[in-house]
Amino acid sequence: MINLIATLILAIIVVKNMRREKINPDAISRISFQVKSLEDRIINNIDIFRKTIERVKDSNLNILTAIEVKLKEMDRTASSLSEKLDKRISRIESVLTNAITVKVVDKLEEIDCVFREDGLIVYGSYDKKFIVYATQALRVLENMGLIKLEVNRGNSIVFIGVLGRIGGKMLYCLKESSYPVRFNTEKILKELGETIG
Amino acid sequence: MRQLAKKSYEDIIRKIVSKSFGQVERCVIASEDGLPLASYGNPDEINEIIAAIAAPLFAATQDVIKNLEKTKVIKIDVELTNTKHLIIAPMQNNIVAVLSSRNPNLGLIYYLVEEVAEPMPEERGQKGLKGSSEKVMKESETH
Repeated sequence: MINLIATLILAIIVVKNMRREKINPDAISRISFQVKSLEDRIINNIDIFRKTIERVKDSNLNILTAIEVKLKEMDRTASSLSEKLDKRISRIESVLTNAITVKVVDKLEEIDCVFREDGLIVYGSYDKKFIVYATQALRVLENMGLIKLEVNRGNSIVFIGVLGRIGGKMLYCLKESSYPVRFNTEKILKELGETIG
Repeated sequence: MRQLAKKSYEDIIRKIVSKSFGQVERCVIASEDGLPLASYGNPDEINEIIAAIAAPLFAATQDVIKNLEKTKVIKIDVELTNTKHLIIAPMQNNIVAVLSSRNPNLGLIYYLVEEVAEPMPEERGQKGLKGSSEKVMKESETH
């Protein structure tokens, strides 16, 4: 294609020159020299033009690759963002659900057990091993203003609340539940006092 | 009659002490006649004294309870005024005695002792008790 265009241009130039000047041997040799040099220049230009186009093509390819990489990166960012958002939303949902479904426990019969700071159960019953090790943890946490402790245990949560000090011993109440629980310590203590004296 | 080796007694004591979060001050496994088989805590003389008082105390209590209630003793808890506890429990034909630290997590010590405790066999307990009552009688005769 390029060669065809170059040949056409050459032909036009030759015809023009032939019209302008009378045909004589000197003129013919000059014209052929001019045509030759013109041809060389055109070939050079075409070569330069081809190289430029190739460079443009290469640079375009590079740009396309860079755009592709960028797009993939954006894809990854978007998916991680959506994951994070999903997690946040589910957390907000669970917090909202919990806030709505939190149950106030104010009766002794609703509690699994009441235990003392020395790990002895004074009311109800529960896994002894859990109680003694929870007591050990509570001994550490007691001085840190503990009000309620939640322990995830399997599919349910164990809620431990501070009832107060009776006879010099701190009392704790415990309830295992699948929904959030809040203890009404005053009512529980009153009922406990009536039950165990 | 199944008797554990000294190493096993030491293992039992190590197990109790290591799981107690520092709430066991002394731990002694003693034979029914009050001799220490393995112990934890220094000085060793005090462990010997604990073994010497814990074994007959448990045997005597077992004897009385057997006559009164026709049942066995699971453990004896002696509460001290300094808030420490001396807990004695049977272990086959022997006893395990634990002296706690002050204000202990009693539930934890009970749990650890109950893990190793085994009720005394019927005939052995009676034999041991008879032996101890005979001893007491003999002693009273001499006085």
